[in-house]
Amino acid sequence: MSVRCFCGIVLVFCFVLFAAPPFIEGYAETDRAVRLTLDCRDQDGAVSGARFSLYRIADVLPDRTWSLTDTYAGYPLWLQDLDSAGLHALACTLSGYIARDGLSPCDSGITGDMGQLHFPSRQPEMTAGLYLVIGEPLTVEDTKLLPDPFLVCLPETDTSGAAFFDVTVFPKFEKRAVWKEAAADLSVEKIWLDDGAERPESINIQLYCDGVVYSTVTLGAEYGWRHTWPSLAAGCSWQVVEDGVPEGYAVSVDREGQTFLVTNRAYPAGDGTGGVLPQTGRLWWPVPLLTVGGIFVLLAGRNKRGGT
Amino acid sequence: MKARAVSLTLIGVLLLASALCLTGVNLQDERRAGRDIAQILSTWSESPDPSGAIAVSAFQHSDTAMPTVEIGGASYIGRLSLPDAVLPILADWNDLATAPGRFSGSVSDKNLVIAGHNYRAHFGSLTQLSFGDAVSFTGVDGHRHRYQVTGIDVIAGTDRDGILAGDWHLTMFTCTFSGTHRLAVRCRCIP
Repeated sequence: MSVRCFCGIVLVFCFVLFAAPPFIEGYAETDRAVRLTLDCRDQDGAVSGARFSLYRIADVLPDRTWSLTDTYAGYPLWLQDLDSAGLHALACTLSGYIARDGLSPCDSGITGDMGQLHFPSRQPEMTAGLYLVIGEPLTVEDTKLLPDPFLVCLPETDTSGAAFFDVTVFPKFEKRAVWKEAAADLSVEKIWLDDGAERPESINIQLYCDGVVYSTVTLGAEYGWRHTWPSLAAGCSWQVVEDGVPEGYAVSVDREGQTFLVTNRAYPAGDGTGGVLPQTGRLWWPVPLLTVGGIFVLLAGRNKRGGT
Repeated sequence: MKARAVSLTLIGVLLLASALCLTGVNLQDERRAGRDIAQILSTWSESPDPSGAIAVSAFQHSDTAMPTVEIGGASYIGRLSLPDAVLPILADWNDLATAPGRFSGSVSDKNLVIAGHNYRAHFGSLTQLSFGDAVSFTGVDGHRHRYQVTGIDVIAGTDRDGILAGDWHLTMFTCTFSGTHRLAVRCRCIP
């Protein structure tokens, strides 16, 4: 029985040893091509004719954190410890910058009859990275479909660390009846995540209509860090961008109903890379353990044989 | 009894074979790292005027950008001279398998932090450094900054603040043997 237990322990040890290196070393296959499929459907069936654009936002580092690509490195974005709400806010923030600055997608395409769109579409192949997917509004009969921007990290990993290089996602749409559309108020509210020491007295917020500046307002403590634009046209894609984010702060813009939440979070001291240092070592430590263990077990086997 | 003996023998062989394979993989990676460094330095020295390719780039959340030179599609901020090695230093730490890279700070702000693999051809020799040893960093502008080792720390791999703490003009760090901690060699400028 003890030999069986020992064998089990050794097998588990061997499994951990050989399974661990890829995880410890991080994305060993970052050069491998990835694929993304958008499967667009609602309760009425497949959504065809929807145009989506793909933007490569960040590289995936060996420790599985992200590093913004050159195009986006200048934007004060927060990338650490994001939950689903944080990822959604990041997608909204990026889509605002993309609309404002007219940034070009790395790929784009239109969903086919089955509601599917495969990336790469126009480019020969895609590499690992964090991608933003932005869809254009689509009117089907008397219904307007407004795709929600979202981020997807390729390859995708599950909780066990297994990587998936061919990923299918199901974009979400907001549906509106065209005949119900009417002018509405939109508000913006500033949220500070800091100790208040370096906070500026005011910040500027720009409201964009289809990528063109519609209004610029100054928010400050005397106005309760909020503003409301009355009776804005319904047929316009409204977005908010903070103009001139204060030094030392990251920004995220999210939308809850008719209110844009603009959050400024102070970067921690240092370079903002998070709390973990990069892995800078080879896996040498198991070698002496395996060697000593192997010799020990061989000697034990030899003794058993001698005993018989 | 005989079956147990055979099982133990097989397990022992398996363990020894695993140790051998792991050693082989590690040594192969070591050799690859050495070749990469030699090739980068060779390309660098062959370039008649590296400064002609200098392009200043800004890094995400970086406190200070440093001028860089492009070699083989990667950006480098300069060359680090240790007592027994010269190493090209990448502008960031995205590809430490190729060369050590800037983790934080800059030469001009006197807070440069460089991360490197513990390959023998990279920062494997950090363990050999001792107080008073001379180190220098030559930027892509050709300016040489001389340092002296004035501190050696061992810091947990999760303690990023620990690496950045202190008034050190240059910090070089790499993994310890276990990989759970980082050996940090601290330096100050020689006036």
